[in-house]
Amino acid sequence: MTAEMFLQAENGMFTVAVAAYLAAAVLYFVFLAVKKERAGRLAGLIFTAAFAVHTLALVTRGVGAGRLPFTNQYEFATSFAWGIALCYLIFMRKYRFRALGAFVAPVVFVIIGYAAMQSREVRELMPALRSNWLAIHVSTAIISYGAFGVAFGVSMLYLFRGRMGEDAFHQRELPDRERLDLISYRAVSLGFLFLTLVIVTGAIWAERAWGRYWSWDPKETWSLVTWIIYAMYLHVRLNRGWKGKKAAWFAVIGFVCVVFTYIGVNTWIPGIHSYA
Amino acid sequence: MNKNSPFQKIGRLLHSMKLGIVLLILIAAACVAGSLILQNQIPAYYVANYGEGGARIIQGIGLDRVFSCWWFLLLTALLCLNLALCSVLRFQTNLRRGRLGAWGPWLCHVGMLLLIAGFALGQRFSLETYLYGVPGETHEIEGTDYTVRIDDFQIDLREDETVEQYTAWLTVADSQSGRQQSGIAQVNAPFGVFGLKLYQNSTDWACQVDVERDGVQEESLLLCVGEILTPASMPELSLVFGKFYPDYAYTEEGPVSRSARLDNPCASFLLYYDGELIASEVVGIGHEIVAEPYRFVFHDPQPYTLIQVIRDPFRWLAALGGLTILVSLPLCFYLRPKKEGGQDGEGDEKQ
Repeated sequence: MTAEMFLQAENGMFTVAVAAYLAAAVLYFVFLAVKKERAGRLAGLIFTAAFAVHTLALVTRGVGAGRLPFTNQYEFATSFAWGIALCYLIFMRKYRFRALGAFVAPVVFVIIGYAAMQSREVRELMPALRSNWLAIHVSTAIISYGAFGVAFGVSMLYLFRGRMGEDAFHQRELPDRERLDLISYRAVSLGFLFLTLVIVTGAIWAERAWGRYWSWDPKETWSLVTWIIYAMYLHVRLNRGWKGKKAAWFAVIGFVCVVFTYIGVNTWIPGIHSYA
Repeated sequence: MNKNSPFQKIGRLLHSMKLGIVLLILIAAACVAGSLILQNQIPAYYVANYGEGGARIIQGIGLDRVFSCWWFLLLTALLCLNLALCSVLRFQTNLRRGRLGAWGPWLCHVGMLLLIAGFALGQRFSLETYLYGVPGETHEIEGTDYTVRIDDFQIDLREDETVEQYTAWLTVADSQSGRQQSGIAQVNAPFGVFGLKLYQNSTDWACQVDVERDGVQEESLLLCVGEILTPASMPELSLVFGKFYPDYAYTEEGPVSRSARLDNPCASFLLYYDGELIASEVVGIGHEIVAEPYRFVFHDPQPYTLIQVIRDPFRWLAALGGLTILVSLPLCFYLRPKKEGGQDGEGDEKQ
């Protein structure tokens, strides 16, 4: 198979993944709103299938492009969505918590939808991007952003949980608020650990490529802002027992910062990361 | 001493988590402002973009240079003091507890202190300078006893004419001891020598320029893009080398280079007399630019390299800080709590 054939195959698989994530998001919503158990099971299956196709699409693009698919807006957006989907599946298995999909699947769909609007052209890498640190830096970002995406979904669910009332379905399908709070904390701590890795590996790479490990570039600065927000969340939570609504809002604001760091900074603020 | 004396109160405040959080919020807010407002621009930029009043406010409170402004440095210094006091106070508590996980937050604070100290010392004592030239030239590294000779410079192009790599072959010599060492600087692979790091930073074009007065050659020199040539015998006249087009074409969007090959090399220039612009054109290489009694001819174009030289003796300290933070976090999250979420009775006011 030629590179072009791989890229064509990726194109098809990407479209299938987008459609499947959308279908899963709708079914998760039906599951939660209409309380249809079957819709939930089907949503879980479709989401898992979408993830599998999405993974295959990324691998195919990597083969077609001859490198890891981490180097432009399209590639990082689709990888970002993949990271959230991966973290969701891990958390869903660990905590046996399917309803989280109602809040995470739409986020995955929006981000992969954003990817669909970007140029999918494969370009040769500029010299600054030809580094092994690219793979480490971006793959840690995918896990970090993925975990924060899950924390965002859990926190949104936490904020809505009070309004949902209590019945047999909710008791069976939704963890209580204390557990939701704990899951959100677990996701944030995983994301924070990886965000720190993102910043450290980015600094090492920047030192090699630009001579300075920190130059207050807007992307660096917004990563720091995001780090500070989650650091505050973890601080007040670990030391002062801050939980519940306030913690949930922190996780939501943190994820807004994550999205701005990725999309907003690249779109509106010029800097040395502008090629990303 | 009275526990409620003003000194005691200030002491408690300085190591309190409340102060730490307030400082983090202020630093984050300053970072947001510093990223949204373009930094270190000339005053006219702020007037053009924010109006007279906005520019006055931005410049008055230092929002045009947030990260070097006194109040930002003060906030960072206070955060360091807060972290240092907290770390000192926590040290003994942690020794008593004897649990590995309890050292997580302490290590994280120490790591942040090392990182900030390494960065601040690096800003204060590091050397950063640039030099540019073409193969065969030797330049002094400003502020040191070293010189750099550019042995060769090469741009590797792919089939589609995009750049694969920029490579500069360099020889650095110590003018005091006479020692010298040669090496290669590429993008993402700096040349480290004598405690310095040399980076292949950028490139552009240079041309040999012949300067004739009344038909007699006065001088011939190498002029890089962006440089100004002023004839010694007529300082009122200035020739600015604006841009170089290896394969010139004029399109709807203005002058462009169709490729990186030297198929139709042209140079744009600006001529000033007594500070006034008298000509601005694009000429083919080898063609004359006339400004009586002078004639200028651009020829023999070649790429030049821009080399960035850095010496940061405190980089290791910042690296140690970063590593310490990385080690500390798994301790914080996965070894620390008895109950998940960190509720192990450490809910005190201190960090």
